[in-house]
Amino acid sequence: MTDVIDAATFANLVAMTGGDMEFVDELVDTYLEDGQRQLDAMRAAVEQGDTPSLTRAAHSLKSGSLNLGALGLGEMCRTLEAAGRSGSVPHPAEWIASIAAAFNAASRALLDERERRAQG
Amino acid sequence: MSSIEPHATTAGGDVLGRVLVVDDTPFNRQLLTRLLRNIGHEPLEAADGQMALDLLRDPATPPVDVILLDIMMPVMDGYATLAALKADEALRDLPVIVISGVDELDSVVRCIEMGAADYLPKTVDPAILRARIAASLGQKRLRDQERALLGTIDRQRSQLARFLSPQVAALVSSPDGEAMLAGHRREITAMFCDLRNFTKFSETAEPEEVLGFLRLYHATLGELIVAHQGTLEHFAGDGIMVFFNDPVLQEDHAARSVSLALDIRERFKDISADWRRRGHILEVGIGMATGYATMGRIGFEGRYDYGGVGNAIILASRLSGEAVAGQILMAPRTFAAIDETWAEPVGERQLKGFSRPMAVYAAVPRGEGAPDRAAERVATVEGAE
Repeated sequence: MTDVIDAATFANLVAMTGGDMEFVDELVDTYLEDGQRQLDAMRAAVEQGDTPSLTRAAHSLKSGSLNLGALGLGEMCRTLEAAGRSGSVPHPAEWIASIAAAFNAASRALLDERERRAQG
Repeated sequence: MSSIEPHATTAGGDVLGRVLVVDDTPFNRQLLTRLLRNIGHEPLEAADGQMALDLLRDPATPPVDVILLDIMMPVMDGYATLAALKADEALRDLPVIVISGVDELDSVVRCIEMGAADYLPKTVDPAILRARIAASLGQKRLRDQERALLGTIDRQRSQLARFLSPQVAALVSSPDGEAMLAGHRREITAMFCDLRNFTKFSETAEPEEVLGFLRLYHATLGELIVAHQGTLEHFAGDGIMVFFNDPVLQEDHAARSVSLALDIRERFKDISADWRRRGHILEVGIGMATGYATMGRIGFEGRYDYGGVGNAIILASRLSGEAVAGQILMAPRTFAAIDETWAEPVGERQLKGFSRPMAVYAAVPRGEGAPDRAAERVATVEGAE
């Protein structure tokens, strides 16, 4: 698909749903909506120095990303989560910027895929 | 919410279940509930542990069969949820499958130590999901069936105990009950007790008086029989039959029988005195005999008693008939099995149905040879013939 979304993982998700593309679209919408919410939560947590909330938001964004094929984003979330669990996240603002960029790229890729599919 | 038949199955042949998905990530919940629905289960959702507990404790929620539980959640995480579930009598047996990422295996270990049934990787594979849910559902069905069965047995036992003697009620619900009921030979001591003058009393007294007396008589005897662990065969008006050493083995069965008889006689002193003041002479007469009998289910389909057939039983009944007011008579084999100071010979009797006269013994009062207390019973001389 793209280098942002791993094609094999995405295809696996589609197969899991029995090829129900309408449902896959719903899943993607849920992921994008909730992902935005988690990014906002991460930003708020960094501002307040709230490491547990930052860790939890990273954990939340991780599983959807990995299931949809946004493996790079998923790995970044995993690393951030692990750092958060160990108690301290160095350069948190830079982390959030990287994750936000990866999330935006994943969003674009997922929406592009839908667009291409709609055009047949 | 549609109701689910206990043994309904999915298209794949798995038992159908209601599965509660507890996960704070909407993406995960949406994916899991869809996958569950695709394989035929009925999903419910909760976004954190507290919501899950509220839902499970809400009487309006249909019964849940399996819980899929995420570990890291806001408000109430997986550990706290698991602890709360295991502390709740009503929810303790619900199988919990922990959802976990590959980097969370130490958390899985902790959850399984806390009572989780299984775990499921976060990158869900439908085949694994299906297999794990099926396994947990199978375990839960077995546990539910076991619980229902134990409940039924308990209920039956307590209901039976109101009709049967406790020993027979326990026998009916015991694993070897059927074989015991089918019939077996056993050495027993049988005891018959009935009232002198009861027929005359029932003819002259008011019916209410007769019934009132019988209630007192049965209550008194019932209490003593249970205390001495005798097996009550039947109450028939004023006549009762009790035996010892069956179905529960009692090495000192002859001594137990004598001890019960002594207690009945003692208790009756006051009762008789009370009735004498009202103008009625009511005294017990007791007979007992030791010997082999065939014990088991007696009767016909629809109405069975637990009882016995044997010479000892007939002999006990005849001796009860021979006993004068307040007398306790016993056959030679019963006498041979107890301490010889408890009874004394009272001569030979020719009993109906027995070809030769038989030596008969009468129990002496407590304190004059017979033991003062039931606890001082001496063990039966084994195989005394």
